[in-house]
Amino acid sequence: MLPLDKLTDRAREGFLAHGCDVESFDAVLSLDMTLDGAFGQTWLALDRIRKRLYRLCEDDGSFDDFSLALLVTPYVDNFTSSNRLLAHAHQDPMPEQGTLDEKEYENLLEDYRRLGNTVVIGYCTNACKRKLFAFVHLWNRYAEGGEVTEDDPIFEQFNAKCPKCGTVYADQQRRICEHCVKKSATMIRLLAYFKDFKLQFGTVMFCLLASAGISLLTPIISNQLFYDQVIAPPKWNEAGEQIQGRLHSVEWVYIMVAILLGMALLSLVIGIIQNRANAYMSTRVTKNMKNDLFRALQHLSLSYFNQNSTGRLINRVNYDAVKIRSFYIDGVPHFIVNMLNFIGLTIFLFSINWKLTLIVYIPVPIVVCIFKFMLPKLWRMYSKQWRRSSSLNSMLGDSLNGIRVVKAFAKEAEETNRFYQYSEKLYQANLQTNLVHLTIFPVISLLIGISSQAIWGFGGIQVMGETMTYGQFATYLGYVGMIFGPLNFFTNFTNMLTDTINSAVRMFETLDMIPEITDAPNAVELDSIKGEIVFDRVGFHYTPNRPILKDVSFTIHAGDHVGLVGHTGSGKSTIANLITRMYDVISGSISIDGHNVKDIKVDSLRRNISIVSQEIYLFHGTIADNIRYARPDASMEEVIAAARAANAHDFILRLPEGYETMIGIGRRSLSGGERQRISIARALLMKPSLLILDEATAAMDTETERLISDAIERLIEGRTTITIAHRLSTLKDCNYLMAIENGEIAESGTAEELMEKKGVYYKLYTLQNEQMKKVMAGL
Amino acid sequence: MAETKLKKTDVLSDEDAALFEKRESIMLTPENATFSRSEGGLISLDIINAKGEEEHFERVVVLRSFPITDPDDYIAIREPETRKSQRGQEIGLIRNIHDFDESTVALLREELDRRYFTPELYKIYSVKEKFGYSYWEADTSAGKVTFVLNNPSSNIRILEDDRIFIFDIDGNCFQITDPAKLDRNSYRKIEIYL
Repeated sequence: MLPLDKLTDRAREGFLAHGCDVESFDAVLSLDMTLDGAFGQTWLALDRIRKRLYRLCEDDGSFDDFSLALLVTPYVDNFTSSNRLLAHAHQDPMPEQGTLDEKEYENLLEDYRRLGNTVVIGYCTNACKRKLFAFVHLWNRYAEGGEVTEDDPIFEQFNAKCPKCGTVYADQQRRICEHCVKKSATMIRLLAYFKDFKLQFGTVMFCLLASAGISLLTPIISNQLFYDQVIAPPKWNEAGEQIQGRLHSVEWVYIMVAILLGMALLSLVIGIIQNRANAYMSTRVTKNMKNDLFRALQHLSLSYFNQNSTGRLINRVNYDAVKIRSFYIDGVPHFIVNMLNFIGLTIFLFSINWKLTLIVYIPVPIVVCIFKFMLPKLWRMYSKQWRRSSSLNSMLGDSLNGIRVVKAFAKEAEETNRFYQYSEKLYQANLQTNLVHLTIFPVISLLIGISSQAIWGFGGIQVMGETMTYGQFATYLGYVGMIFGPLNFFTNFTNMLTDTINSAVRMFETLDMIPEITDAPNAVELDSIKGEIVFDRVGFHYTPNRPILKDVSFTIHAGDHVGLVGHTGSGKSTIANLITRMYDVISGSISIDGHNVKDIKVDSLRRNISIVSQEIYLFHGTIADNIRYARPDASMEEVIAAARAANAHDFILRLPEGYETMIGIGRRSLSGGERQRISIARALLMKPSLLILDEATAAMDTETERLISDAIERLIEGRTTITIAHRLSTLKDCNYLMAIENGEIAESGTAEELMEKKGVYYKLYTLQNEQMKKVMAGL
Repeated sequence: MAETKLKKTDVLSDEDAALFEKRESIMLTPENATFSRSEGGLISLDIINAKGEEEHFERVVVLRSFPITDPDDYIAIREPETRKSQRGQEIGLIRNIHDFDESTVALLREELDRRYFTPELYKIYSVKEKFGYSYWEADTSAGKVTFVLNNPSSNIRILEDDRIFIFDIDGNCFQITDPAKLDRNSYRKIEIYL
């Protein structure tokens, strides 16, 4: 059986009960929905020898048996959260060719595949989507009489391995490696960034502890020692022991002041050392994290960038690293210090006067209760506020980016009103949050205040009753003031922790992401390529439900100039992307000069292929730098030659700073055609063995296009060129044309051959011709 | 000049003009359209088209124009997409589903519910967080389900009318129409994500 799904014992028994020969199943598929559209288990099994498709519903035990001879053209309807597998059912088997000629028989088959009753074979959620598509693929290949073996590339997607530990994912749909996730707990992994800064980290910790110690000692020295023993007059208790004024002299006043001053100085010095060590460590850690992130991003495949918006990635590089840093720099050390402080304070307070301390702790449960009940409400308000502020931001960005359109339609007032609405909503949310915030926290302060007022009362009585000295009492009050600091810190700390974990998870997600396109272990390095390209039954999609290429096969011989025509979205650019291996094929294979592209080192492949794509990006910098982007060592002579060939030389020299004109956002703006010409020059400078022009001249006037194509023709004589265009005039030099429609090669041949076929090309030709005629007729 | 209003056929031959013919989408009403259940259990349609001819479709695709805010208005009826003509053309538009009788509404609704299958979360049994992924166990309008979610900040979307959409790691979507109506225990489990 092919490695798609495995039968469970229960399913096996179910099939056996209906008399199926389970051993001869070619492939089984488990769907996670029933035919009623609820969650449940449905099994499909293909038996090629008996030409049957079996369906078993595990929940109600219902069983169906279809003949594959009468069931054709399986296809998937893709919905939001579910997929429906359909097929066409017939009463009679597929017609025989008989006396019909090739063309007639093909039409007959086409109709047979298209007509018949559409029947539902099954439903499943997106969790089974990949497998469903593989199943349909197998079914189709069997229907055409093909053979599929266990090592067919279609199964590769179900054997993905965890990039770190190499174990095959337990759940192929949800590629989470439980093993690695557990082993490398995020927080511990983060510490690795600090391992080169042990000295600094130790210094920071030491300084924090020292300053905490000083702040704990200060009330004792300033109150218990200074007031009780120095300022207060001597006093003895009943047992004859001196309890006050042991150091009652003016000299001791000076000494005590000097000690206090010394402590203040010491804590200042400690603070400076701590901050310097901190700054040294934190800036470097942030730098390292950002560098790592950027390097990881650069190596990821294009598909990752299609799924993640640039804004989000920039955020990731900029803010996540900062957040993580601040957690370790500000969060962790303070957490430890606050923890110790809290324990120390509690011990001090209880040892000075346990009765009073109980009073201090009375409001604590109340405060905790308020936090517990009110904080979730406050969080929700904050998140609402955050959502509104981010929608205000996106509205702002949207409107400013589209300012040309706004002005063109004279919608300034409407945009302003739209902004007012967002702004009003944000204001409401802000107001609400502030109102609640400003109510809760004063109440909490009051509760805390009440306890300290109570302490003044009870403590005062104790001092009068001489069970406590004034110095002890003042020390005590000092400590009470300090204890709410740690409490406050702990309530914020959980927020900080979740924030950091989120940031860290996002960061590691990017760092751990394995590029989809990687060099095979035995990949070959190609110095140059001849440019013979073979597509063998290539299937490709960006998302499983939308096939872009379906079983496309063709051969481009070295030195050919091939033109690709077709509607927008027909898959032309995808072919270019697959040749340069921006994406990997889903099924089938592509080979260049007889090597499968997957077995060629990506670097060497892309070095030999130049692509001028529809989307032109010119970097900040001079025109010369942009042209030399791919080969920074090229001489200026070569740059000029390439610019000349791209017909860019003349307009570049007309610019005041010639080749040294700065371009890019905010600099001199070039027209669409000028940008295209620079990007062509950039591609030509590479002297590629294979040149792909993807609508490279679409923004130029026909005359310039002609000049460039002539120049290119001279330059790349004997090299393979692929030109993608929808304007037929662009394709005049091509010696072979392929018309792509709906992800298939609809027709191919020379321009004359295609005209005779009266297909896609003919349609395009007549349409463009008709427009010309209209122009001529003055319509 | 103005009187020489040329038609397409003046420039193109009749044969070529046929290449560019496109179906004209019509407003579907009970007068010109009859929906019925197809033999395969899907939806068949008979219409009188823009040219006044009768036409039969073995199966049609039913789509909502505004699936989130206005599910009953502007329902598009299209030809299915087949391998030969991948882009099925629009046959017509239903202004409001209730223009049709109840049995037709039921038929269309059944198909629409399948297409826009978005299970409603009734009860959340557990949400277990494990390093960035949360594992959910819940009861929905389509039965019990377990699913995995990551990145809650971008995969839980809250609409202006408080509806919640949850997108799991596979791309399946679940919804909570009125979070306030969830029982306390379930609500507590999602509260932190809101």
